[in-house]
Amino acid sequence: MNNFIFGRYLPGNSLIHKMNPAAKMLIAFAYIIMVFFANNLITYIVMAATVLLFVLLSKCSFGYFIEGLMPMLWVIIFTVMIQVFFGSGGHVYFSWGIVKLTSYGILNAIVLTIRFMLIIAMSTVLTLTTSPLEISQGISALLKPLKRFNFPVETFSLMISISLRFVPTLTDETKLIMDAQRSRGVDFGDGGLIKRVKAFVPLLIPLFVSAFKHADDLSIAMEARGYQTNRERSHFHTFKWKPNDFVCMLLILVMAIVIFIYRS
Amino acid sequence: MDNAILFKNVSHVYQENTPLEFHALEDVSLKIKSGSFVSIIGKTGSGKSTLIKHINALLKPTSGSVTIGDKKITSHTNNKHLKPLRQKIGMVFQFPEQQLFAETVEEDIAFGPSNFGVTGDELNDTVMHAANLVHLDHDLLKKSPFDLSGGQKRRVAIAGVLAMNPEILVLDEPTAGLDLEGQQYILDLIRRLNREENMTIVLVSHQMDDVAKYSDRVVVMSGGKVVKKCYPDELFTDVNFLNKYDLQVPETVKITKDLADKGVTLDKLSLDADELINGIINKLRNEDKDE
Repeated sequence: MNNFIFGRYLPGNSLIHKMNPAAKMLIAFAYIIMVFFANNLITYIVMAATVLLFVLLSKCSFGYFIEGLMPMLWVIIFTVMIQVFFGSGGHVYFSWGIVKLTSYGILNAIVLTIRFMLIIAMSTVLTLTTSPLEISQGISALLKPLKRFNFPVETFSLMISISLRFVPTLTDETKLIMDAQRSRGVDFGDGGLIKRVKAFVPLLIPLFVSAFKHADDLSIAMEARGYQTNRERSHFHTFKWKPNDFVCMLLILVMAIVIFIYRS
Repeated sequence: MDNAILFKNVSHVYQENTPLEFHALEDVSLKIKSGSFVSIIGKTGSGKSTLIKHINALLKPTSGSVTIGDKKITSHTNNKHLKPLRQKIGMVFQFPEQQLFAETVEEDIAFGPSNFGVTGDELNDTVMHAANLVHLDHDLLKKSPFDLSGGQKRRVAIAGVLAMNPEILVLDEPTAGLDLEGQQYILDLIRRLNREENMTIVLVSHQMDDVAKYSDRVVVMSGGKVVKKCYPDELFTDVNFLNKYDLQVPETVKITKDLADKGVTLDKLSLDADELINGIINKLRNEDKDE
């Protein structure tokens, strides 16, 4: 749980680590959209090659990518099962009631698995090489244009970075309170549905109480240090657009063009 | 019934077989006798918290075994049959007031025992008994736990654990964040439970003065290993060892040593401040007689 999406950031010094977070997010976003345009062998190979290039450039070992896949494994297996057994069309190999094993079903399942893996690999590159703080700065950079329409960009990005910052803290607290209540005889994940839901009350109430307390403390600490809403704040790390950002974005653009040419 | 705690070659690895693998305990063997008062000390990150979570099977050993009374826990132990074990062992974690959740103090104290199937009058008696043990005012029982002061909350949380009638009480820094009076109060309560109710006490603490004063035995941990298990006077007179593991020297030992340096040798080492004062007074009296 702890390693899922948040807190997986691996500090490093690679080309990808040093990229502008806004550029990385644009690239990841564009890539994920392109995954849905790929529809034949050549386009999938191009997609896979691109993500492999990014993985290699990030200099993170493959173990982390396998680990990133793990939490999604059940989702993938579930969707694949549905595709395999309930897909229709093409040659029917086997049929029993509504369950049918067809060639289209199997093909769809393979395509789905590949798409899942490509998307997960690309988003793992993003989360492994970008700290939560950089992500929030990237979001705020991408949202900047909305300022014209009176959207509170500064406040919004601060909100995101605070919530990201507190994910590990609250995870730790959840573990602690779970341990404490387990010691008092609570069995999380045992008994019927109602019993299970009830078991979460002694966990959720203390967690909410502590979240509110954190919020109170933090707001006082921020005010004491002169925070005011919607004022332009300077950042300790400022990100400039560098040549490698443009090279990587150009790469994705080329990939997109290739895919539009070769997709059937 | 004998409820000795026995750790046999226990190792615990967090996130095994991942790049983030971490060895929190390495080959720990340890025996804690029934009815004793044992303190576990060591730096932050030395594995104390991991060790105590093995006592009621919140964590299971990656290898080796933990035996409590006649119940043996290994890496293969099924999670289903742990309830009797958990009832026997009271766990007071750091800042236990964080676990309070019920609408009234009474309900919160009753939560533990009712999970273990205590009902009706018996439940009422248990709650009252636990409230009396921590000297909780009966007016407070109907209040919301969130309206109490810090010290009161801590006592309610401890009462909630004591209401399960545990035979072994494990406490992780129970005095952290309390004022001096509150600290004294909790420690005297723990001592009373040990002596009068014959509860086995396992205390994790950074306060060497308390460890020296209250415990029968001390276990020193460092880097996931037990580096020493001994009597408190044995440990606290070994200044080289204390310095090596960054442990404080208790005030009582410091004073005794300062006196010895000035040529005043006391008859015996006292780790309790009151005893030390008495020792010094006796020494002064005897010197008066000699003159």
